[in-house]
Amino acid sequence: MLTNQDYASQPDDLLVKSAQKGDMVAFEELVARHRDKIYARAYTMMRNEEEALDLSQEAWVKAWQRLVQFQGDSSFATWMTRIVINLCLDQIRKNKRQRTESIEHLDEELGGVERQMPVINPNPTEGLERGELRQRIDEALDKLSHEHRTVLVMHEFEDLEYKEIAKRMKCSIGTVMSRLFYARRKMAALLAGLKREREQ
Amino acid sequence: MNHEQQLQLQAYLDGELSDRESRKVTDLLASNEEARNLFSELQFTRTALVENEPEFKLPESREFFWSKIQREIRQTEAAPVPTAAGVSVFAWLQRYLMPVSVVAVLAVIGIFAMSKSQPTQTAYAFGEIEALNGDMDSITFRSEAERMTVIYLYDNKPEVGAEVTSDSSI
Repeated sequence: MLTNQDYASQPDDLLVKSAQKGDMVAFEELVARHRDKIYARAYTMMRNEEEALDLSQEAWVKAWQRLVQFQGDSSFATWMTRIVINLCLDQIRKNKRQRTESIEHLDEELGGVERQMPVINPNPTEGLERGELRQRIDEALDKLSHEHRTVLVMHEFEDLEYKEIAKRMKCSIGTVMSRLFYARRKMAALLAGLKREREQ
Repeated sequence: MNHEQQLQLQAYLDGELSDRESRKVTDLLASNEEARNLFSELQFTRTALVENEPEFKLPESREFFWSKIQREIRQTEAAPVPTAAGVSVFAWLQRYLMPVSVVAVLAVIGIFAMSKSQPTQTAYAFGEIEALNGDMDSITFRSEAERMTVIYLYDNKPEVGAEVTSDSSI
């Protein structure tokens, strides 16, 4: 019989094998180990604490139900992150059906705005402390639409290719490229704006 | 620089281009300052994001969060779940048998409708017999084994006569 200390010292793959046989204590250890990362991914996408909590909880329940399907092709953390991303995408789609799109948002979707933005030079992130840069990135992410933030999260944080993002977002590769381009340009402008605000 | 070139520049940064397309972009970067500035902006934005993902901590204790997950798991496990075999049989029925039954029902309706609107050969033959002179009556006998129909015509008066027809004439 393993003690709690034993579980804490086990690597993920062994805990997964135990959990696949129905060991809930092993699964609890996996939850404790990765819960912040899964919550952070949900929060980055949804920008709402309550929704992020619900979705990360739902992701863990789904993971338990589908654990036998996990073959170890990727790390357990990556597999879990994919589950929570899919749940967030479903939720974003549901929310989108309920809200009216603003004219500004439609303009972003059509992809004309980013061509008129001046190129940011020099790099506004240069010389910043890591903590401050993270805070600025977080503030800038908050100002993006769900679609642009999602494409940025999947490309920059999850390192997914255009094709994979298009599949998950149920859109064309061209749309992914346009959204990513807009999101990056908007981020650069927001980071430069935040820098100017702090300097004043 | 047009929008397509801008997107190609980005795809080059992300390693999404073929060798041939990459060469086109390097040529553009070598000859166009606007392209170089835009590339630099895209590059520092990507680096800043990749290396500085914001971190968030789950705002609930380990025990409380786990208790919610555990409760949810127990609730879903207590609910009856269709077996994998049951699901697959139902899916098979839905996929293959339901369209076949729809076609079968339509075929039966079609045959029924046709039989109502078009008289069969036999019915047509009887129709001809019925159109005979009103003073005459008939008795018909059909032998499938002989492929022959015998129509016995007679007057209402006690005179008798017989006429024999084969299938080819009906």
